[in-house]
Amino acid sequence: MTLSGSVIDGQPPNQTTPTGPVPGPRRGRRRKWTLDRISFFIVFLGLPLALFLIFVINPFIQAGYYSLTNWSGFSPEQEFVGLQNFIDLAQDPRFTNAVGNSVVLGLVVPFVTLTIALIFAILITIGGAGRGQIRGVKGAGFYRVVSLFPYVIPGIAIGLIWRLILDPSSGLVNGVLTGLGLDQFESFAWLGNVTTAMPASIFVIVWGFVGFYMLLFIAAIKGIPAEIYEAARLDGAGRARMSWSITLPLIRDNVQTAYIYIGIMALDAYVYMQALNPQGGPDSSTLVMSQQLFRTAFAESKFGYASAMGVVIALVTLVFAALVFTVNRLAGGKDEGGAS
Amino acid sequence: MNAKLTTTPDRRTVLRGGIITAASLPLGVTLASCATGGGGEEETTDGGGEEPGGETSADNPFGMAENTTVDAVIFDGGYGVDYVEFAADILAETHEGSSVEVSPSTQIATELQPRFVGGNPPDLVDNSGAGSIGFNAILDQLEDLNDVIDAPNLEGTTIRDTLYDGVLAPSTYEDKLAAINYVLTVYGVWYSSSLFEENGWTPPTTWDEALELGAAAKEQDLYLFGWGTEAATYYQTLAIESAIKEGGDEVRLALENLEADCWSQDAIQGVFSAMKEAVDAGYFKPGGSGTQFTAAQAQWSNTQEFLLYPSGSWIENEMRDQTTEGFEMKGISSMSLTSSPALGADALHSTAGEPFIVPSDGNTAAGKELLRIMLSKEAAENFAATKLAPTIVRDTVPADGFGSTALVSQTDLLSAAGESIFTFNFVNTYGMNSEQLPIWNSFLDGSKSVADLTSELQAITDRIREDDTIDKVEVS
Amino acid sequence: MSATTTRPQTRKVVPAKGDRPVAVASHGALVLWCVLVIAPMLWTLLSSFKTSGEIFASPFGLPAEWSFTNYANAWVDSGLGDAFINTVIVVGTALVLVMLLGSMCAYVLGRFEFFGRRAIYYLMLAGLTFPVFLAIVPLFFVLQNLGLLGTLPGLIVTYVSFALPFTVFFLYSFFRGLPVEISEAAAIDGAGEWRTFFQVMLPMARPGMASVAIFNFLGLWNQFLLPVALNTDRDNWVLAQVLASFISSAGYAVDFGAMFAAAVVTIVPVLVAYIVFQRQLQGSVSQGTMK
Repeated sequence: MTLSGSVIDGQPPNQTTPTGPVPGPRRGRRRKWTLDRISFFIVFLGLPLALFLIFVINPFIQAGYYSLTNWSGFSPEQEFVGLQNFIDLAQDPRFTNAVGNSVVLGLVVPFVTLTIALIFAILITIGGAGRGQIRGVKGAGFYRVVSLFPYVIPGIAIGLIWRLILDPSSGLVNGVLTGLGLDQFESFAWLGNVTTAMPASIFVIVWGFVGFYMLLFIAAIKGIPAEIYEAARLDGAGRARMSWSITLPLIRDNVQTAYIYIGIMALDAYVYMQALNPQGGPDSSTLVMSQQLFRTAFAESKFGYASAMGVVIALVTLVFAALVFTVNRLAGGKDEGGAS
Repeated sequence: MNAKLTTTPDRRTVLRGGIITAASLPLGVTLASCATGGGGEEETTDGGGEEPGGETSADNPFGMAENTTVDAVIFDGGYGVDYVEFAADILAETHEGSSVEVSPSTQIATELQPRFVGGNPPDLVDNSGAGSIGFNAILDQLEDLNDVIDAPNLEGTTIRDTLYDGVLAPSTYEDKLAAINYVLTVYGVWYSSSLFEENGWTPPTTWDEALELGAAAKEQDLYLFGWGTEAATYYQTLAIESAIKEGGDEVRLALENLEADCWSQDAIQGVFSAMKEAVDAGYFKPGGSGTQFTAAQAQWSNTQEFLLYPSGSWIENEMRDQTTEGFEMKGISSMSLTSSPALGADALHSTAGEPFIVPSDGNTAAGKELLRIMLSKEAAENFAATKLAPTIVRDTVPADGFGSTALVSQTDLLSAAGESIFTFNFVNTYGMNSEQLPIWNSFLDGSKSVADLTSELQAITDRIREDDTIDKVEVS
Repeated sequence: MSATTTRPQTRKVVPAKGDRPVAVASHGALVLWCVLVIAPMLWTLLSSFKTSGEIFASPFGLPAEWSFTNYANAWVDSGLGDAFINTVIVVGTALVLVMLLGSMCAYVLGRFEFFGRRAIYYLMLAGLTFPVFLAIVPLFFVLQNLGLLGTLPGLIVTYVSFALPFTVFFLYSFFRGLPVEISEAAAIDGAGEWRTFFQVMLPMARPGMASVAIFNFLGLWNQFLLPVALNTDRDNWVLAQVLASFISSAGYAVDFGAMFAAAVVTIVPVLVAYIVFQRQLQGSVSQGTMK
């Protein structure tokens, strides 16, 4: 959602797994502290850093503090309550329900999105007809360009459009289905039915992100030396076999990075869920943590409590990222450079 | 009707604030009201009202000094600010040398907090909009406006005698009239009178009649009711109105004061059961829980797929562009359970909005004088004529309602109700709406029983009652 | 990275037996997907020309009259025009600033050794993973105390700050990758640090800058939570807020045609930007993954 979309919009920075500063070029001799150099450091490092500290780090620290108070957001008074908010959260059925929904999103959305993206990426790169040279399907460029369309649409517009498409009476989906003779879908409320609301929401998010991850995987697959495929083919490996035992292992770190980024996005998902079902869906079945946080903070004016929710969201996110790392490592991947 | 009205945020938003805002997106505005936190703590010590006074007279009951510039900050919402400018022109005429500076604002709280804290607030403020100042924060810094109400209007009648009943109660805090709410909202059930005439239907006054009408509509493949997912609780408002009419004030007080088992009161259960009957009989247009509320409302006002829609009187303005020609919108007071309800069949849910306040540290005489002019017949009539909404001043809407059938029926409903006007605030006061919405969506689409509905609504009430961190408002 | 573009694909190949079904299935799946992508967008475009009555009548009907009334209504009445201009101002300014500040910061972090360098880098990295929600409320008060709440400069400075970690993170590795000899040559020529950066290093970083700029543009244009929570003055609304108001639309006279039109107006600029720059974007993605 922010970070200029990088993390929460599920946009991975163009790098493999962040593993910290790489060893930089050696600095030559020490230079003198001239005016040029001092002003350079102040402006080049000081200015961006000041902005970052004031507008990003500072609010996060404050929020961390508020999570330990009972501040209402309206009154100047606030009492330090220690971990009471967190104890209450654990017993708050509304929040635990929201956590549950978010975790579902965090597990299902990445899995579905990345599976589809990977399949399409493989089809486009090595799914084409032919012998000898491994190549993609014809018109790969077209598929690639079109696939990314949804990604450039603002999340709020995606939500708005799909809400109208899923409208029970005048939406496109029910129009098509009833047109096919499936009359049970007349006035069927996709977003208003406990069994379909969550799957429909997941579908919309997946729709928005498949293209981007597909592009990412295509790039990764193209990075695999062609000789490896040639060799495998000479050994008589079919496409499915090649995909499974060559492509997948070689791009596993790209998949891991992608998993973390889309997972973080899915754990938030505020824009989509709020646009599709602002009131949290039937029986609160699509209410996610971020929505509950907003509600608590601004409709119920319990800012301390809401901040505690924010801290929990941050923790869940970190746990998620750690989990993905661990799974990848257990499955035999290395932290760096599988694909390079 | 000026085009602007259709485009600017409608002030009435706030009146139904709890119904929509809590569930929707304009959170920034809600945030802004938080920003006032502590505004009231900065006690301004210099006593207000010590501005250079003029002589008091019949024409100048508050003794506004000559050559005054009145400083008015007005919420620039659905009603704009031109109606205040209209009154300002009158003031400039009646007080030669004086004038009014009307400043529009959409974020009253954010903009005025520093001025309140600094002791130089405006003379008159329309404290409206989602970004308005919380009253508890500034109550001590406001003038008691009872003397405005007791002053004569420009036509010479005491203002108190020209107002609808009960319009001052919501802004009266222990005898202090802290604000005057200028505009009236009427709640009820709305329908197309032309469609009803065509079919020889009469709008229902009881739930039994409503169910009969539902059966009649079904014969023509029409539905009785419909709803949108964000506005499912409009039916809660309807149910509460019906129940209060039926059971009287004790029903209202039990709900307002978050009493145990308040949702199990007979009157409420009776209405719930009637609604459930309508749901089970298929009188509700299906799919509402997945339909955007504005789309659902258009299915009523535009394609006319269902007959009745419970809402506040803003509905006419809200759907103006989406209402089919010749719709002839009219309203009725919410159906009662029996034909002889406790409060009478004409009892009406209505409340006033657009609170005008006069800060004590401003030029109070000037602020009050402008308010007095606004409450005079000429200015109130101008408001009704240009905004198609009644003010709290009675008898300002002509018989033709400036061509709006809905406006005519609003005034009819108000005069029929007389003193039997009621309102309730607990849903907004405690921000319950967002939690109640999913329950109502499930109830209306048939997947919840009356018992489920009751126990889940009760659970919300109980939780808030038991939560010591929430300040309770005692209603009597 | 060059592997992507230089792989020989010219040899004519005779389809082998058993390849055809695979190709058909591949095309089938991809075509289906493209339909799934394009159909909703076309439907939105179509609906944006319909009157509300037509929208409710049938999801497939064509508009009786192809007029731009909805667009005019959305543009003027719903404040889309103002919001469009605001969005261009905010996103444009923020983009320039964040690219400038981000590249400066990344350059210093990437090419100079000093105490605390690592700490700053990791702090930036951490900034990437925090949920923005957590920061919104305190941020509101920070801006208010600075008198920037609800102003365009306030929004710009927030955008810049929150886009900074991503920008720095990306450009950091880019600057690290530039050969050290160049800056040293510049130093020997007597260029100061300022000149070295602006005249030597920045031009060399252009490809990396372009990719980051595209991602930042998309991210900022699609920004939702920050403006909704912090940009409260209606006159300063950006596109996302206008769209959001169509959804919540509490108190506005509703206009469904205008809502579709507003969605189209919001989508088209980014879509056009994407189509124009799509080669660059795909190049930058491969670049990232091939490192």
